[in-house]
Amino acid sequence: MKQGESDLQDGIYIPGRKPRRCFLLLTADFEGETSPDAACAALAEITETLTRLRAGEVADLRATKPGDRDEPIMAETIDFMLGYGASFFTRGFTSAEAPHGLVALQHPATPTASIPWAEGVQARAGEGDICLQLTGDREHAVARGAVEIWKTVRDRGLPVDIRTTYSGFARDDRRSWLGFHDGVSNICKPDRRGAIECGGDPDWNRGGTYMAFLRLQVDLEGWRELSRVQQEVLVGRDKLSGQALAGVDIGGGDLRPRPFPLEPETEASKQPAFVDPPETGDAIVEASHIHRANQSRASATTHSAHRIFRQGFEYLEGIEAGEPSLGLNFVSFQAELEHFWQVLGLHDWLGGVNFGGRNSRGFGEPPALQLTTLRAGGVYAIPPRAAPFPGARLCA
Amino acid sequence: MDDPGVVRQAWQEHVDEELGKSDLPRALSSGASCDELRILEWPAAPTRIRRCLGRARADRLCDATGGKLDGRAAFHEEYAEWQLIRSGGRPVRFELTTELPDYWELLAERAPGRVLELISAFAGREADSRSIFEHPVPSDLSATERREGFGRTVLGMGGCNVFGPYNGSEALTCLRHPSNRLGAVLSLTAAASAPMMVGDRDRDERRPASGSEILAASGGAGRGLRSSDPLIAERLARLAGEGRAMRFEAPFGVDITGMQLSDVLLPGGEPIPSEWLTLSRAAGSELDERPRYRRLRLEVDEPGLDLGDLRLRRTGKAPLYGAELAELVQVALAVRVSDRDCVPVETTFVAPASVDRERWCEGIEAKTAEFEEGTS
Repeated sequence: MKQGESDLQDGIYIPGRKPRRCFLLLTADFEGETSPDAACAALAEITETLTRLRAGEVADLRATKPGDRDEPIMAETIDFMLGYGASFFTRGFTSAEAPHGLVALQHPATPTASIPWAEGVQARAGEGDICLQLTGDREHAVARGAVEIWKTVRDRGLPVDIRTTYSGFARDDRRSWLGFHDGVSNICKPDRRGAIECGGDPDWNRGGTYMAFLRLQVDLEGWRELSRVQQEVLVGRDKLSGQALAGVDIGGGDLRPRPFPLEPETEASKQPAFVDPPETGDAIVEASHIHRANQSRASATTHSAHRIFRQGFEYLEGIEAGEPSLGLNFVSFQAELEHFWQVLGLHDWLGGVNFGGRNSRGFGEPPALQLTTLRAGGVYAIPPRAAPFPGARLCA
Repeated sequence: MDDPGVVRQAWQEHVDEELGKSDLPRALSSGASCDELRILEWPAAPTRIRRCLGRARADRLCDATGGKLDGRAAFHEEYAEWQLIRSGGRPVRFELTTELPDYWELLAERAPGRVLELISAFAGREADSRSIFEHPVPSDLSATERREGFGRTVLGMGGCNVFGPYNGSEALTCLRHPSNRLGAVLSLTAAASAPMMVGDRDRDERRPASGSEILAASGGAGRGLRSSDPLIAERLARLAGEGRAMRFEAPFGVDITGMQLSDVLLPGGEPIPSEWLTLSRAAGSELDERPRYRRLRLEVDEPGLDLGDLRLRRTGKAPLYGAELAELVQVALAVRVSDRDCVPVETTFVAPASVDRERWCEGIEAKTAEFEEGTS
């Protein structure tokens, strides 16, 4: 349990904070010859713009002639968070060493143990010296935040190259494009700070956190070729109710996923097995996605539980030539990046398969499917709140 | 494991005897049939030291050797110990063991020839019996004399805390940190294998106790902030809370369940070949059709390359310290459990508590200061 006010930046849904429905991640680099002082001055300016925007002030709507008055917009429509990528440290904008695990993703080599790059993805897609996560309840609010950053960079001649933006949204049905419930088996609210907040190694990030971002493209067509049974075996839940599977029975050459019984008087989504699927002892179920993502089932304060707090947003880039390009902006926060790398790297966790299932498949079990590929990704340090901007200590 | 059957039998009897000395919770002493496998797994790098001192300093100290002060004996406390062997300052070989010293003491008593054979293999040359048993002909000694001689030279016992070459400079034989003994694991198990709940008023609910809460209430069994003890405690308590009977998978020991070779990269960015990893000292039974190993060796098998040419995915750099490789190794205790609701559940309520960093770091800084003075 963490006591006292949190210094975590906005946009992370710990108790007392309102989750937002829309997401935008903006990545940027500093121009080639930028000095550390100039980089930090730019960060102060960008932070100032976003702080004013959050308060309802837009630079273009300030009074400019006698008789004018400032025209405010609705306040508190966005949250913003500033992060520092691996290249901020390797390019020398700070004398501090990069924290453990804060590295550039391999390219063109496979960036994680089991998720390859999508075709055509360029190096450093999803990475930057800095990132800004904008979240809000309306798409236009987060979009406006990105545009205001662009205006600030242009109008003040800041030495910043905005690389790209990635957008996404939360669904109101708590399901993903796969059709299954997603994000329900997450760290419960009282435990989030303990799992997210950096303990002070390095000291400049004490009270801050680390963010991992993976823009995962989903092969929806390939997924839909699987039967419902096969999908349930890979995910580990009943497709309709969302109830976790207790076992997979084998009979007559068929697999029959068996969910935990539903308590009749309680809403499905509030049942213990739904929210925190217990260990089953069934080898097929234990290899499913939801179990691979949390093999230890220990509490968030137990280090080797490798608990990460997930706060992802779906995306649809579009449908072109009859093919949808869609997937998940996987976003996780964790006290140490070691946990992220362990979850994605351990063979019995998500390092051994692209999504779920057993490596040695039995009769009737779904075939090995490369369900996800990576369109962009990066890991970032998210320092605690500070004046004039989070991470200002890196500039000292 | 090709150790003599008489030793394996004696080991199981010894484990059972040690378990019998504890006031075992019902879950461990019930005669219910236990068939389901549970693997309690953690990374081999010492987390408590890292969290108390900072990662960079901790990793450096874990590899330090110098006179009477030994990083391995001081800080490798996750039931796994390693050596990063260097040549010309470059890392060339990484070895790790999870073999309990208690087992090796039995081996020394009952099968001295096997001890010599194994240590010779570890050292890569014929071992000198005098540096193991303090006698050139161990069969001339009594079992007790062999055990005691082995304890002094290989395990640093008897107050001298100086390790002979066959568990240090010449070979990595078995665990030797004082926490990495059978008694420590069993007392932790006995303390944790009972259901523990927290009545958490802040959350207006009852919930299973976390690992750190269990250790805080356990009266000295185990250490918080470690990777191993809190996880073992929490998993066992939860299983007990489900009314499951439990027994350790025989033969008892800590197994190496794998190493994340996907995170050890060639200069071009591809993972290293799996053939560069050698697992040995198999325990003789299997977990989910996988052998249970207790010894690991990582060495580059490519002319002109050594470990210093590789890169770790998580740092982008060559491994500098053994802990960076130990972090990629998973070690585990294997437990067999019964169905749920086989054992009556008598729940103990413990107080909710955050992780008490001050408590679990107490003494680390003082030990470290002494260590750093000794090696400077």
